[in-house]
Amino acid sequence: MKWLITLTSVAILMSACGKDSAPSSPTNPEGAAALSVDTAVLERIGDASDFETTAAKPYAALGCARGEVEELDVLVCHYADAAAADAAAKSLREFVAGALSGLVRQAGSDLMAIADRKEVDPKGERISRLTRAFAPEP
Amino acid sequence: MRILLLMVSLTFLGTPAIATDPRGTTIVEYYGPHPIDPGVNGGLCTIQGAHMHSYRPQDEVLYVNDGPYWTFVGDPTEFEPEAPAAHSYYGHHPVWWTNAPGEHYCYITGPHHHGYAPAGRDKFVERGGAYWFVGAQPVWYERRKRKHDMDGHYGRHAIVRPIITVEPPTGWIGVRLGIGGAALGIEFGAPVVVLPSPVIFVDDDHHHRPKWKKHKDDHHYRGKDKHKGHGKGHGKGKHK
Repeated sequence: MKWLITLTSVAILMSACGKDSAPSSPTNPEGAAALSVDTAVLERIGDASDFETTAAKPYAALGCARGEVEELDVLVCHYADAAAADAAAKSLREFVAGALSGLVRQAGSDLMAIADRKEVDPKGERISRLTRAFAPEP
Repeated sequence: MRILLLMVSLTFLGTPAIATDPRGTTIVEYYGPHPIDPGVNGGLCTIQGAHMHSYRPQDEVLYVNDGPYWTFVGDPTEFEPEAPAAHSYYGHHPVWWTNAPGEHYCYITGPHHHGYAPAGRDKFVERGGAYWFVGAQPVWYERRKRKHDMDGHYGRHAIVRPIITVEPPTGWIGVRLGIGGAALGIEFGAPVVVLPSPVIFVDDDHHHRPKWKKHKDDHHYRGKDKHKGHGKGHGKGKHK
């Protein structure tokens, strides 16, 4: 009987620990309620299949996706509206930190951050191309 | 791991903010195209609008402090002689490709290039393949000009100057009253302009009418141009 109680306790403990120490992997959504970024938005930049859902909480977003496009690290986040996106733009600067070049751009209720971590685009030609695709000039 | 940005705001002298993270990574904010750190690549960064780099400007006199940004107002052909979108200008003029349009000036004397054609709201006249600013100078023009020695830079660095072979347009030479009338900015004469005939216009009389002198060597420009074989004529003269 003792071994059964012990086993049950261990199982409960492991279950609890598992919940608490769940890795906050950037490729996992932060809660089931989080919205993914509109595929059409990602398709403007590159191939949507190159993006994975990533943590939205650090960027105060409803949903975020991250992927590599033309060897650049790209983050796209979706917000409730343009005002919310505008208010959160500063938080995406953190994404660029440590890169040779980068920027944050808004298109309606979406924000995009690009970081050139591999230093493949010193003249910003790729960054400019992605930026124009994400937020075409009027 | 989240990176906390520590803003080291150099607000004195209006210097744009430099942000660093705890690892000492520098984030420098730029607005529009600018020279790339030679240690990185050289040439020009082509990104329009606000963006960031991990390096600081190499020569700050070629930039204006444009709010939180460094905005390049120098001649792009110094860093990329074949810059495809170069337009020719003559003399000082307002710049509008900044985050705060109209709040800054280019103080390059004589012919030079920029990557932009004039904005519609400013008074420019196109003549001889170059743009000349014929509007009123803002009240801060003289004060900032003294602090912004762009000519000093171009005295030390060679650029390919556009060839200007016409006399200045009406309105370019004369007394300039500051906007608002609170200050008086006075500027007489063009430094040097080459005319179609071998005659140059010399500003050697700051208080009376400018004099006309015979050009001795029929060369193009007396200024700081170190390139003898210039003649690329980058100016597109697209703006009518």
